Amino acid sequence: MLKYIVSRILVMVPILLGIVLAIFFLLNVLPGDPVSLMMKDKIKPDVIDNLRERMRLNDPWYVRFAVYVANALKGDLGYSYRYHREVKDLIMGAFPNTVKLAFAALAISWGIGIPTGIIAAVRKGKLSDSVLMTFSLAGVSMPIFWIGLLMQYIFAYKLGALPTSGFSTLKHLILPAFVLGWSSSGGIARMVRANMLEVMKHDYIRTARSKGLGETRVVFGHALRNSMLPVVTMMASQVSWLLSGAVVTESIFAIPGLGRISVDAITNRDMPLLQGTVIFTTVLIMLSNLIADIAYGFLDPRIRYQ
Amino acid sequence: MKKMKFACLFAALMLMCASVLASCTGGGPGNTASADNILKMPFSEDPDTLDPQKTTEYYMVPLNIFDRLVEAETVAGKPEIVLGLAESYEVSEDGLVYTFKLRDGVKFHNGETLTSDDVVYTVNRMMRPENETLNTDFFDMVKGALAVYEGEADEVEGVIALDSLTVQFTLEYPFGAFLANLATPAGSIFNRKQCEAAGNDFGIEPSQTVGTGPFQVTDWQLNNKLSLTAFKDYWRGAASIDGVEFIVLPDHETQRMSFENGELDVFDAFYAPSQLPYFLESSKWKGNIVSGLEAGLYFYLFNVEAEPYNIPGVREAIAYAIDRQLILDTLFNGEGKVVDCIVVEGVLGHNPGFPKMEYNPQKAKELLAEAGFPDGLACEIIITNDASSSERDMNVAIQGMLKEVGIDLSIRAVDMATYYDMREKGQTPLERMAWWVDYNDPDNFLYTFFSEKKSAHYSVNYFDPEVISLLEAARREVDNDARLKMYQDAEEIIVARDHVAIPMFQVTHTFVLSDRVKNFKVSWNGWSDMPLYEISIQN
Repeated sequence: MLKYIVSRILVMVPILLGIVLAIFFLLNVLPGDPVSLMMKDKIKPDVIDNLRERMRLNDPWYVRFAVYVANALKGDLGYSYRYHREVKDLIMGAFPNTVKLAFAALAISWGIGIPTGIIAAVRKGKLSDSVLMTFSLAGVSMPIFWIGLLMQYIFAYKLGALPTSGFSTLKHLILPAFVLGWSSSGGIARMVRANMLEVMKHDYIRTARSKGLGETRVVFGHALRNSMLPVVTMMASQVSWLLSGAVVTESIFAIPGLGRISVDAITNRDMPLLQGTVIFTTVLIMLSNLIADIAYGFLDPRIRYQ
Repeated sequence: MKKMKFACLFAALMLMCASVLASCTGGGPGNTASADNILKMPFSEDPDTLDPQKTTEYYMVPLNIFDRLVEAETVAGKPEIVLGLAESYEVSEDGLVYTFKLRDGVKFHNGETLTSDDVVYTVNRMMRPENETLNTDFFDMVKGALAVYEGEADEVEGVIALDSLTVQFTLEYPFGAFLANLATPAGSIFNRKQCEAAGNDFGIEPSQTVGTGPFQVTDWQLNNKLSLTAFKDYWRGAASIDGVEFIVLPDHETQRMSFENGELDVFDAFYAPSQLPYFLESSKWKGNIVSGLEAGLYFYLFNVEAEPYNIPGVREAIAYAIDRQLILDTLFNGEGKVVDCIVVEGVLGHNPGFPKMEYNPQKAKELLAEAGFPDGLACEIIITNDASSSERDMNVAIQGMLKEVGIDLSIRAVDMATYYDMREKGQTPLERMAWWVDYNDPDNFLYTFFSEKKSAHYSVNYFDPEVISLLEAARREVDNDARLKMYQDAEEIIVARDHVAIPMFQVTHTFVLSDRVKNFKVSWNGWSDMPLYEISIQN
């Protein structure tokens, strides 16, 4: 197992290098530069020339790439053009907020999605199945910005029960976490339901029932565990998606997370920040996939790592 | 039994949701209004820095944490240059030497006392290329300033401390707008000791960002909020409010709901224009609206080297084909004023007798025929893909109006970086500009877009010898009336004769205030960025 984990981590290095190289190349071939974006409509050619020189934007892209990689290996991800701060400080400042939001949303998503899927599968074809699947479908189908505004309107504006926006207390977390959690719970619920129905047809379920096991034991002890494998894959992608920042939710609820600085990096052609957030997000995705792969082994003992 | 199990599971689920909601307390809308003495204002995004030498657009905080030698303020309804950190000043007859006497005993937030050396340091800091400042043009007329920027000198020759409270500026040429320049945020005075110690943290770290202004920065949580606290030792006396909290809210709806919930004291329609109609029609808020005409305008700028805009008749025809009043009424709720000139009302040198431009589609058709396009023509405008909805709608409205006279205007959207790159290379054919005055002088409008030095950078490429000569001469003219006349003459050639620009309208800047906000005055230039010193709160 340890050998497997180490080898997976080693594979991440060339992937990261390839991604940084791809970003450098893409930003190099695209027209425009960050200095013009910093100046906006105030055009001052001598200032623009000075900044380009000092920010080494006149160097060939492969030289900048080599310098970037050398600095990154020392832990220096550069200095953001937009925010005038160290990139690693910006990422580390935003990430805890994103983590809080992501895990609160995941708890709601899985807390709603898994029981809903189980109940719907057990009650297949009944009214409760239809009601729960409609509820899940609504979460998946409604755009996040719309659910967000709707929730703000009801709970903050009309009822005054929760703050409209911000991120300083636990109360601030409830609405955005619910919005994100509900919208992503639909997929989990439908996946759990479909897999449960599939698993419930297998011989070992019939055997379990014929042995006289209670339905609860059959569902939770046998069917659920075996239907979770594809769900775990989905959960892993959900974790990485949420941890890389939920841009729309963060904007509506004014949450200072990774999503917002990532979008700012793109719109402002803030190359150091963009590279930093992409590297960080890539690492998160690779790690969550690794964790999912490890989790398969616990769920299905037939899977062994070499 | 099965039904029972389902009911139990469902109840557990609901209980879980309910427990989350039950943890919340509170009442109806407006109940979250605070009773403190802190003014809460919105930001749609964070400033890039609080250092006004390094930003070209985020001036709200610098205007409130720093002071300038002189300030631009509204006096009896008109913009005036008033004394700031300087208690007096003298200008030599040739307009080349400005001598400022500083107020005695002015304190910086770190306890240091203001001296003329701080002023000398501030100018030198701006001009040193290694500091990567952006606003060098506010000081580049000072003698020797450009030599420092170009690495040919170490110190700006034209700024010297005559004694600890007297500072003298010598200019390369008599620049009539020099005082107005000093009154901009870029003219903010820094403390040498603090600035040198802070290095790159100046403008970023609250504790390191020190000025003499009425408020000091105490906290900055990126993408969340920025807090200012009243400076007790402020030379004009401490502000009546305890502080200001700028809350970063990118979403328009959220801004409105936050304001109505009492989480904000001020709703700024500039940041959330889509919500303005709601407030204009709201019986609850109508009485809390304050607004002021912005010292700036929307206008269209032609690239006079790009086809078909290189033909003056085509430019004039387009100007006649646009119903500006209709666009103002429809897209801006009529909140503004159609203008015919570029140097608009509220700006020094505004010409109230400027020739009128009427909406006349028939005349537009005749002009097109005279220009050799009796069957119409095709042309293009390029915009950025993140253009505001008002800009997109304005372009679409104009597209429809031009269609009526046979002009097929295509609208192409590109990303911001591509757009700036194209403009820098002179490739944008027609541009919609929104320009708010930086300093109260016609120079800020006319020299910026139509001078020989700058016209190409905005893709205007207009090099009329008469205009160039007028704009250069006006910059060096000592007699104020004479120089304003030169700007007016140049403006008439640019707009009324050559139709290089189509002025559209000035809009009003509207704010909605909560009941507890008192003494709120819209800035003379209509900016969102304004001094907050005189505002008070009554709970």
